[in-house]
Amino acid sequence: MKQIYLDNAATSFPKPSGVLRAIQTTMKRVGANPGRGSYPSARAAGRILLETRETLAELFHIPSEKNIAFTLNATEAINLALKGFLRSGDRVVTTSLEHNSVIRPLHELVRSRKIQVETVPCPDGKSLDLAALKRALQKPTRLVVCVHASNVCGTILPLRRIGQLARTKGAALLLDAAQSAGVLPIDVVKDQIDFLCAPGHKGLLGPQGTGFLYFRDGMELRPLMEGGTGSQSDRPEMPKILPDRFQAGTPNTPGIAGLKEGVRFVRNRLSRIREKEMRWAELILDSLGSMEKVVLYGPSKPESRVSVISFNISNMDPAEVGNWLEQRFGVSCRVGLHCAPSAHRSIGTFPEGTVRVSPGYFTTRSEIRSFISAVESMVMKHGKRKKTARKR
Amino acid sequence: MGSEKKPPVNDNQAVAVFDTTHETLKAERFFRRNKIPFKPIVKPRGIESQCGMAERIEKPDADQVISMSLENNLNLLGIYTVGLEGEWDLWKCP
Repeated sequence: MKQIYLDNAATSFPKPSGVLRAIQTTMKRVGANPGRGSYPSARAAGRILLETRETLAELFHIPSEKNIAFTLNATEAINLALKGFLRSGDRVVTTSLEHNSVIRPLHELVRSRKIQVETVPCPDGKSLDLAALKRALQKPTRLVVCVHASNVCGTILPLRRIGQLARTKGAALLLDAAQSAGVLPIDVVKDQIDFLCAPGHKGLLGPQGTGFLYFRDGMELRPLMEGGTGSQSDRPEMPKILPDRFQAGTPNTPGIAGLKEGVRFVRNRLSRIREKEMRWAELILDSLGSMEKVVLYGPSKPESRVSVISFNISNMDPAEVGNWLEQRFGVSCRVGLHCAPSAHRSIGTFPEGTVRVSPGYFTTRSEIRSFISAVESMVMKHGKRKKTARKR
Repeated sequence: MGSEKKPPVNDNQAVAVFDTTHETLKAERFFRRNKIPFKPIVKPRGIESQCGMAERIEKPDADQVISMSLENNLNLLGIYTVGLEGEWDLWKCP
């Protein structure tokens, strides 16, 4: 049975062939440690980091590529920003659609640094309550932490408006772009983003083990880790110079080489990627929406969401639906809470969760049709089973 | 032995030192683009810098290296030459 991969919200698959080639070439022909020597292969490795930073800076309109720190994933980027920026007693405003990558470090900071967190609701997961955000920002706030697009129901939050409100009130803005980087246009200057956290392995089509944090010039940020940087080696403290300050230890150079190619691929196709993903979202929303027993969550218009679609079948456990889809039809999707319990509370699906499908740029129309047929057959079978049960 | 202290430049050469490896690698790109001959070397110990790398250049190119660095916002710390007693002297800086 051929796999139908519909879990691009977890990690994108497949990757462009250029990504695979870049990783292999780096492993075979470069191999050296960047910034740890002046011999040709060490410089070649250093150039991979430099060029990847430049490529990311171009895509996200980042004024200086030196303000990009490579991380393992978006989670590490978020941890670096939150733990490096927030001080004891700070107040943070966030949303009810956040992932545990935000919720858990904030929870830890409430405990360890006594920060205060106010969560702004997103009614039915369909949008952010802007009036509530304005009210929340009446109190002095140091940071607004906000997901760009929900990993549960795909909802796109009004980034530009949030950025304006935060800046007006003197709060910094941290954007979790886990589901939007490489899919939606992001301009750190126009969107007034102070911290941009993104994975390399989702919409940017790079390999797992890559991600980055952009921090605006002048933001007071402490490193999460200390260690060797290949610079100022005689001193015990981390250097203040960028990008070295946030690059302790040997980076994932082959992965970063792959990320560069992923970003280049995306950069040349951003509007096409968005268009295609909207098409798939529309097709799924229309088809599943017409099925009697299917409940869809999040905005109904494809332009208000990314192609992350959560649904349930009435009276069926999402886990049962997921197993059926996988075992009978080869559909790889994700069921449960998607590491976002608060988002599920917003849409009323806590604690059982939903079935989530997330097609990507490489998903084909026939794969989407097969998935729709699979849901259809399950709805029909379930209906029959229910009838049988009633007869008894 | 004298060979241990032999400087990595001759009388016609100098050493350009940038703030970081990141900037040094960026500078190499502009050297190539502007056809400025250069040779990456390990930064000599006598030069104060946070970066472990430096670029050996020809002395007549020094002014062009400075203007190129200014134009491209590269943090060139200075261009160094070897003094009479083998010590490193800051010769030019932006």
